[in-house]
Amino acid sequence: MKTVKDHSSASDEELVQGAKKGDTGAFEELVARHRDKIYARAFSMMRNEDEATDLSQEAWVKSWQRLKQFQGESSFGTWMTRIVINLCLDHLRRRKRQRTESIEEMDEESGGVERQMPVVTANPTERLERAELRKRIDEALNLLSHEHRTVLVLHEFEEMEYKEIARTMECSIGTVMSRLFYARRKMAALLANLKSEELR
Amino acid sequence: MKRLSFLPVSVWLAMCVLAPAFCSQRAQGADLKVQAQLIWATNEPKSPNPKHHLLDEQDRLAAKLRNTYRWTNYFEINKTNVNIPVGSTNLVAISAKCKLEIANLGSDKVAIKLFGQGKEVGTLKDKVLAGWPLVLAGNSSNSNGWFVAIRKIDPKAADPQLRPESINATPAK
Amino acid sequence: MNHDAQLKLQAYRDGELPAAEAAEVQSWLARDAEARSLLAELEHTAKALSGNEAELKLPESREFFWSKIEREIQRLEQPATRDPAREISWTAWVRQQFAPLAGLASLAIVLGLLIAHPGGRSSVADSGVIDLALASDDMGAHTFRDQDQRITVVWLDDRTQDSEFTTPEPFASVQPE
Repeated sequence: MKTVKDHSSASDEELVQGAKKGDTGAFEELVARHRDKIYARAFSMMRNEDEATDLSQEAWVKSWQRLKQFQGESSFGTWMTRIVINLCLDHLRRRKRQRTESIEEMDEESGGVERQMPVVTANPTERLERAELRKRIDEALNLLSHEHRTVLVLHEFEEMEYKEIARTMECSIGTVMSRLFYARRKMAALLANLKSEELR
Repeated sequence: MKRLSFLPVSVWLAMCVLAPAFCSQRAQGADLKVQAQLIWATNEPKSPNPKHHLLDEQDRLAAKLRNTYRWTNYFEINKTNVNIPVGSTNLVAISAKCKLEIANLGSDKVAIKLFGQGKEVGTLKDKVLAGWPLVLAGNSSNSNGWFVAIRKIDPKAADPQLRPESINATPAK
Repeated sequence: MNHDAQLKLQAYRDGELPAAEAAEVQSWLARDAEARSLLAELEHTAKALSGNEAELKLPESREFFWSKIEREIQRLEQPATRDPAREISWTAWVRQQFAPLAGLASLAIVLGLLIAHPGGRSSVADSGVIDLALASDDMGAHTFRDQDQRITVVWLDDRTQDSEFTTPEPFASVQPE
């Protein structure tokens, strides 16, 4: 008789050990626990539901294949997040190679109008409800270029240091600093705009 | 002792050879009545075409799709019932752009050939049973989806969704 | 303020400067209002973002999403598990030893089914893999059989990302005809 193990009470570490031994039930439980977080990270970078779903699925398949390499230096969730981030970056790089670099993109890379933007003096988000703020941030993220959004996501949401972002994005620390600066300035302007529209 | 143990085995063997043949005689020889339904899946509250009818909570197929997919609303675009004698193939025009060629292979097994915009997409062979829809699906424009569900119609089924309706499919040449 | 100064200010805010340089920035901030304004803006933005990422859920059910992953894992592992030497030694032995028993077991199953379903009623659940042949290499498909919900879905998709050809949408549009 086939026995079905209940994995719901097992820790991530126990599930990883089980999955390493080929227990797909343990791996399924890991997927169930972390799938929303992995999807959310993919969506934050791709801004497309279908691409985010496909890439998060690909990340899970990759993680099954590489599970033996995971030695527990970080949590399983962090390790999985790194896999999906790398897949999203590969995807974005492939997409960028395919399209012609426009003047607008080159402008974005070098700072564009954000360099001359006046400083937003008041805190544009202080009176917003949390749900509303999340919605506004999501809308504003949508308006950033892939490069600026990625660096912002890695720094602010993944709490990566400059060095780690540079390694992940395969660029120099200077580029990371520059992109992060312009991304933040643009974000500040977008949030201020959204707020002033709301007050109108 | 030896003779006693041999006898049941021989009876089993005979039953095994004859019984499936006897049973499948009924299933293989019967006509197959199926329903093909074209559904548009969307998060839009209304379909631009008022003729499309929203499948509500009572619709079992829509409930199954709602449980599985991200879309909240499922509109029926078209529904066609077809009667296929065993060994025959019927052509079902489910929409102006989509046609199905359904062959009754016997024993509730069908071969469904899907044509989209005049081009053959592929052939699916599987069993089609009452209460267990066989569904072909894909993405549609504007992040919507389409579903073509094939269901066996059981004349005795209590579920009105599985009772036979008018037959309006044309046999394939 | 030049760009290098702006980046230095940001690095100070992010705790990425060595102690000596951080002290320099602090004294610069004490005497420069423009620098203070920019730092305040960077602070506000970072604070607004921190912990305020939109909460998203994967728009697919647990079973469906897992079925796709499981299928892909099985597909990828198939060549690796094909070990001819092992197959000969084990499967040949199993076949020799258990073939007669398997035959008898099959007979018992058939008989059991006949008794349980005298009308010869069949079940999708035992019908195994779906036979699907696609007309184009550009098309891909994954199948999903949900035993609980009693539904089989064959999802067709386009493997070439940039192709104009997506799934053969069965309607031109949903506009009234």
